[in-house]
Amino acid sequence: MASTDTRSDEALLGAMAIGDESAGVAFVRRYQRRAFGLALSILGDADLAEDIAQEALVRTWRHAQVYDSRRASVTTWVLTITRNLAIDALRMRRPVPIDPDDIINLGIASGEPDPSDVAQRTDTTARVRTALASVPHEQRRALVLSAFYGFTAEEISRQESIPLGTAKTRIRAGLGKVRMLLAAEGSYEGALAPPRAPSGTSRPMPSQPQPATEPADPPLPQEHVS
Amino acid sequence: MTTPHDPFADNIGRGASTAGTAGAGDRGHLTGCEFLDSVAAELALGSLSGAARSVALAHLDTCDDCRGLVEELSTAADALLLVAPEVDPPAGFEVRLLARRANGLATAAVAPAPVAPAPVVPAPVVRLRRRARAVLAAAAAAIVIAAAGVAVGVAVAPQRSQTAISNSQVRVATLRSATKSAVGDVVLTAGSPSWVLMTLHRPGWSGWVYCLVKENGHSKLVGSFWVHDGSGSWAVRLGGSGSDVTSAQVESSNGSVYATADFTS
Repeated sequence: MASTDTRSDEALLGAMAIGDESAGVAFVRRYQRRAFGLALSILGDADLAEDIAQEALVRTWRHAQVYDSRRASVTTWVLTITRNLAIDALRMRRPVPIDPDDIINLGIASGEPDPSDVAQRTDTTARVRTALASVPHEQRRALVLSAFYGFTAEEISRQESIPLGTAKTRIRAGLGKVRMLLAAEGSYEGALAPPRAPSGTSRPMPSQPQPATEPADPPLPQEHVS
Repeated sequence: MTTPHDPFADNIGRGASTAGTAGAGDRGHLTGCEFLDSVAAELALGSLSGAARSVALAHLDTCDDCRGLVEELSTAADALLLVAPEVDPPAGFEVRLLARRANGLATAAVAPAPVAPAPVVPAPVVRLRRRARAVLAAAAAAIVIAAAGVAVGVAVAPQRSQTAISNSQVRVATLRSATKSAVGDVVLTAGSPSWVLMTLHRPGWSGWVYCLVKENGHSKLVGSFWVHDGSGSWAVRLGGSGSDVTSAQVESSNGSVYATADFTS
């Protein structure tokens, strides 16, 4: 369901942090397609993907008060939490066959944005898809195995039956090319990038697992709304 | 090349000698920046671990150029997640999520928190979660079925056909206003735990409402929820088995009865 709440992501999180339940529901409606789509892409199992997407959104809601806009954009935050949970779930049920081309084909072929998307976000997504499509296939596979499935270089080496050094080279070259293409098109501005950190501070790497330690849960109310 | 006074090179040497990971020997021939450059992509993607990650992070503390490189690569790595297509979740996703949040099911997650090692989820917790999910899935499906005007024969969530639940466990009643207009539905799942799920629909109306259930002849307040733009969905776990609940009632904030659902008719 598309969200009709016009507040920004940051405003919704801020409202959620002070107990505004309607903001939480609007946030869920805004991000459920993204979270479920990412989890489904990684896991390939609708039941498990729903579980993971729900958990990711519940955690986002629960920890809305610790969101730091200097660390990453809200989209990045939600997707990273979803990805990390999906990877953990994947590891608990391995071995399962993994083919990075599934995500490559799904993602690059997907050209139907959510009508509720703001134009900027859709545009950014299209640029990322274009950038990824520009990367040589073998580098793209290594990149997807790492970014979506959490594979280390050693695991990619085994999966692809290639030397470790080759796996490292593919990851490095592939991500370097994506970085170069996105930077050239200015895709780091807008929805993708976090707001600029104050001068003299550095933004922690959003790909690092976060939050490393979760704060204590606030007491949950016995009711909620939609 | 490593210089005699490069403390990073010392770190590399220690890491290589103690960790013994693949490729560790090569790092001894690299300067800090060269080594960082060789692992920056893996670090940005979150797939670097062990001694190599530790050494790389230590170097980032001392090198602005390398930190800038990793930040740019991290942004690119994060952007890759946008490639995943957006997909509509199964029907009832939102109701189940709200129930999960309200009842703390999230604390018994399938997966652990990021970074933390996979927890061993006690079997009873797993069973409880599965049981609760099955009940909620069936109840959510019942809402959909009831809303569609179809009698609840076997309430089964479409995406979870294996979790059938009997009629005696799920009761559905229509919420009716004082003028007998249908304004929503209540689903009651008996058992342990028992749940009540409620949906309200009334265009152009927003505000807090309070939910009461009548059990063994006594009314008790079980919660409140916000109706936004005339609609709201809500779920809560009841204290008892739920089998003795005869009706549910929705009141506005000033205490006037807004709608009633009768489970006995």
